[in-house]
Amino acid sequence: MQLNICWVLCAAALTATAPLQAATLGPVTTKDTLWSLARAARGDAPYSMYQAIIALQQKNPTAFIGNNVHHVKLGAVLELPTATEIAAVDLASAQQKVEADAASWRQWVATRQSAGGSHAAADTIAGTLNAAPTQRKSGGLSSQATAALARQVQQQSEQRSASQRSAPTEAQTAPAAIAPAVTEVADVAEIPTTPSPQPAPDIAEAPVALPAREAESDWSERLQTDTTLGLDWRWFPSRGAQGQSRSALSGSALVEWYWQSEDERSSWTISPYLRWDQRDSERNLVDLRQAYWLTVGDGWEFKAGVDKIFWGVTESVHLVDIINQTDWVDAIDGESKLGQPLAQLTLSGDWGNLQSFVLPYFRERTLSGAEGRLRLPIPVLADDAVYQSDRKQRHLDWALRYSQQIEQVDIALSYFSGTNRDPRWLPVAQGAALQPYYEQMRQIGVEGQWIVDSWIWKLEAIRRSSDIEQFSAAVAGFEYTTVGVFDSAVDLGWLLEYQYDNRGTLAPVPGQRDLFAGMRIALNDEAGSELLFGIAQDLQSGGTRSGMLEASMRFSNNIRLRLDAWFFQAVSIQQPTWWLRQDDYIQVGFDYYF
Amino acid sequence: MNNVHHTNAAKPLQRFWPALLCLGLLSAGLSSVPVAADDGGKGLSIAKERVARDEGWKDSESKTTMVLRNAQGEENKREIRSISLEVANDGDKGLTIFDEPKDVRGTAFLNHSHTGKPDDQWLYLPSVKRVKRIASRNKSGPFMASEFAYEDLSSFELAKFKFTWLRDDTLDGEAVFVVEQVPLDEFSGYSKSVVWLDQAEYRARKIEFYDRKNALLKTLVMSDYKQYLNKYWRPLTLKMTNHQTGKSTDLLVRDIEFGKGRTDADFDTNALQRSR
Repeated sequence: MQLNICWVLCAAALTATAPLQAATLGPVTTKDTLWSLARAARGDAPYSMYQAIIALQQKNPTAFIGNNVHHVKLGAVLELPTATEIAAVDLASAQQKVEADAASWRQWVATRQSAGGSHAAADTIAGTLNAAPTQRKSGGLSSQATAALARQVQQQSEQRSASQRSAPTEAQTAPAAIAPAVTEVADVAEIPTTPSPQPAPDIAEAPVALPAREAESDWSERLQTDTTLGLDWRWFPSRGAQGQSRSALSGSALVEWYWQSEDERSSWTISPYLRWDQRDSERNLVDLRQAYWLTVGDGWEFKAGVDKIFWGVTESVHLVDIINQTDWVDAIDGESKLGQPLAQLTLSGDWGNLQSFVLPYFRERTLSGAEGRLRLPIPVLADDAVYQSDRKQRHLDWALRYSQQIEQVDIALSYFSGTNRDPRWLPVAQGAALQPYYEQMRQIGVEGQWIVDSWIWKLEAIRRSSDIEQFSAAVAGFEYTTVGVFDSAVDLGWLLEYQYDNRGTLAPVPGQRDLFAGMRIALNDEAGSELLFGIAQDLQSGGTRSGMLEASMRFSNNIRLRLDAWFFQAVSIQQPTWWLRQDDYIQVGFDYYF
Repeated sequence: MNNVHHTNAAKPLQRFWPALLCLGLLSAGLSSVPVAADDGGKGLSIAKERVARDEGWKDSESKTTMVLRNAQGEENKREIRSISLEVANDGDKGLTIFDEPKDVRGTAFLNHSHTGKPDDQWLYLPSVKRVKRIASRNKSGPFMASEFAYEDLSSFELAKFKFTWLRDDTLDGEAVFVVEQVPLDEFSGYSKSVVWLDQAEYRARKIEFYDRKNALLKTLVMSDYKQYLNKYWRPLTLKMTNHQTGKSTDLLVRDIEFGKGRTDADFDTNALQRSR
C-alpha cells in the first residue's frame, strides 16, 4: 500500500504530539502529509523543512516508493531522524531533491490521468521515478496541489534558512533558545490543525478522491489466497473382495480465500474443495470446506456460514467431535470433515469459554461406491438416505460446549442434540442393498487433559442416546515426549490410549476394548521429516488388530511428499474391520502449495 | 490419525517463543528471588538494569525471515510473523504464525511463558482446525530445524539464571560488561552462557552458549539495533553459529511495531484459532 502524502492535509494529530519525543512516527495514514511528517520529524529544531524531509527519507529508505519523498507507503512506521542527522543534510541538495521529486511526481500523475491510469503509462512513469513497475496504486493528484505544497515547503524553508543564518551556531546546539524556533512552537501549539503559517487551500481540496481509492486497493491487499493441490496414488496388495481394482489415482484442490477488515474485527473465509478419483465416482466431490463471516468483540465472537469445528484431545479416536460430518472416503481415520453450515456464538472470560451452535443443515457421510475399496460388501444407496426427522436434512440441530483451563488441567463439557452423524444401515431389496439411516440423538461429552512435565494425560467420554439405543464410550491415555534422543535433534513421542465402548462386540466401531500404541518420530531436519505409526489391538480377540503408518517430508518450500499405509486383521465377521481385511493399502502422494 | 501426523509436522515449531525481537531483552516481574553470586552482586545488578531498561513496551509485532545455512553453505528460508504482549509479574505472551515453508503455513503457536514453572503452549493445526496443547518442559530442541533452540528465543527473565559478572571489556570498540549466566532450569540444554552487554545501553551484543559437557556450542551475535518509542532497543539481525556442526541461522527481523493496543484476549486459544 502506498499513498502520495502530498495530497492529504491537516497534520493535526501529528503536530499536536510532541515532536522529538517519540522515536517513531506512524503508521502513516491517509491523514498524514509530507508536511506533517517532516514537521514531526523536525520538531522545533531550527532546520529547513527540506533538510527534515530528506533526513526522514534517508532514515526510512524503504518507506518511500521509488525514492520519491512525495510517495510514502501507507501504514509505514517512520523512524524519526535525530537533530544531528537533520543538521547533517546539505540544504541546497535537499531542496533540489524535494523539488525534483515533486516535478517527477507531478509528471507521473499527469501522465497517469491522461492515460486513464493504464498500466503501460504507469509503468513508464514509474520507471522515471526509479520505482518498481507494480507501484501504481495511487489515485489522481492535481498538479496545483503539488505545486502548492512545493510553495509551502519553500516558504517555510526560506524562513528557516533565514533563522539559521541569523544564529547558525546556537541553532545547532540549543535550538529551543532562538527566537524563530519559539515562534514556530507557539504556532504549532495554538493552531494545531494548521500545518504551516501559510496554509494552501488548494491542497486542502486535492485529496478528496483519495480515501475511496485507497480503501479499494487496501481491500485487495488484505485478501489472502492460498491453494493446495494434491495428487495421491493408492495401491492395494490384493484385489477387492468384490473384485475392485488394486490401484487408484486421485487428485484434489483446496483453495482458501481469506479477507480481514482493516480494524481486524471481522473477516471472510471461503474455501472450496474439489476431489477427483480415477475409479470410484462416489469419491468425486465438490465441497465448501469453509465459507463464513466472523466478527469479534470484547469477550465474544460470532460466526455465520460453513466451517469445520474440532472438539477433543485424544489421538486414536475422536469420540466427542460431533459438529461436522466425516468425509470418510477421503481418510479412513475419520479426520477429514465436510463443511458444516452453522451459526456460532462464542463467549469467553475468566469463567471459561462457552461455544453455542445452531446447525441448520445436515451433511450426509461420504461412502465408497461400488468401484471403491474400503466398503461394505453390499452396495450402499448413498443418495437415498432415510431420516428419522420429517425435516430430514433441514432438522435444526444445536450444540453447546463449555471449556476451562485451570493451571495444567483442561476440561470441557459438551452437549449435542440433532441428527446423528453416524449412519445406521437399513437392508432394502431383500438385503441386496443398504440404505443409510440418520436418527435423532443427544450426546453428552466430557474432555479432560492434564499436563505433567513431558506427559499429557487425556480423556474423552460420551453418553449418547437415541430411540434405538443408549451407550457410553470412552478413550483415555497419554502422550509422552522425549526431546533430543541420543544427543540428536530427534524427538520421540509415545502414545498409548485405551478405547472402550459399553456395547462391547455389538459396537459398530472397532475400538470397544482396544489398546492403541503408537510412536512418532520427528527428525527436526530441514525437510521436516516425520514418521508416525501405531497399532490398535483388540484385547478380546487376539487376532484382531489394525495398524497405520504416516510419513512425510518436505521436498521444497512448496512441496511435501507423503507416505501412508494401513493394514486390517480380523478373525470374526463380528469385527467391523472384517470387511476391510483385504483392503490393506499403501498411499503415496504429494501436496503442492502456492 | 491426521491429527497426530500434523502435530508431528509442526513439532519442530513448537518450541518457539516469538519474542525474537525481544531476545534477551524482555522484562518480567520476578516470581522468585534471584540467586546471589560471588561477584558482589554485580552480575545481578547488571541484569536488573538490563531488565529495567526494557520495561513498559506493552505489546509489539514483527516479521522475521530465518535463513538456515548448513556447513556447505546451502540456504533454506523460513518466514514467520509474531505478536507479543508484555505481562507484569510473569513471563510474556506470544503468538507466532508460520508463512513459509508453505506446507506449514497457517500453523500458529501460542505461548504463555512463565517464571518458575513450565510455559503454557498451544499449537493450531489449520488442516484439521485443531488447537492442541503441548507439553513444554523441555526447551533445548531446535526451533524449525534452525540453530536456535526454544530457550534461546524465550524471554529474558532474571529468575531463570544465576548471574556472575566476569569482567569489563571492549567489543568492536565499545565498552561492554561480560556476564556469565548459569541456567537454573535443569532441562536447559546449556551448562552456561556468556553475555557481552554494551555499557551504554545494556543491550546484549554477543552470547556464547556452552553445552552440558561445558564445550562451546554456539555463538549468537546481535546487530542492527534500532530504538523504538525512544526507549526500547531491538536487534534486527541475529546470527547464530553452531561451532560443533558448522551450521548457522540468521534471523532478519523487520516491520517491528509497538503499541497496537493488544490485550490478553489477543493471546488466548480463541485468538489462536482465528490467527492468519
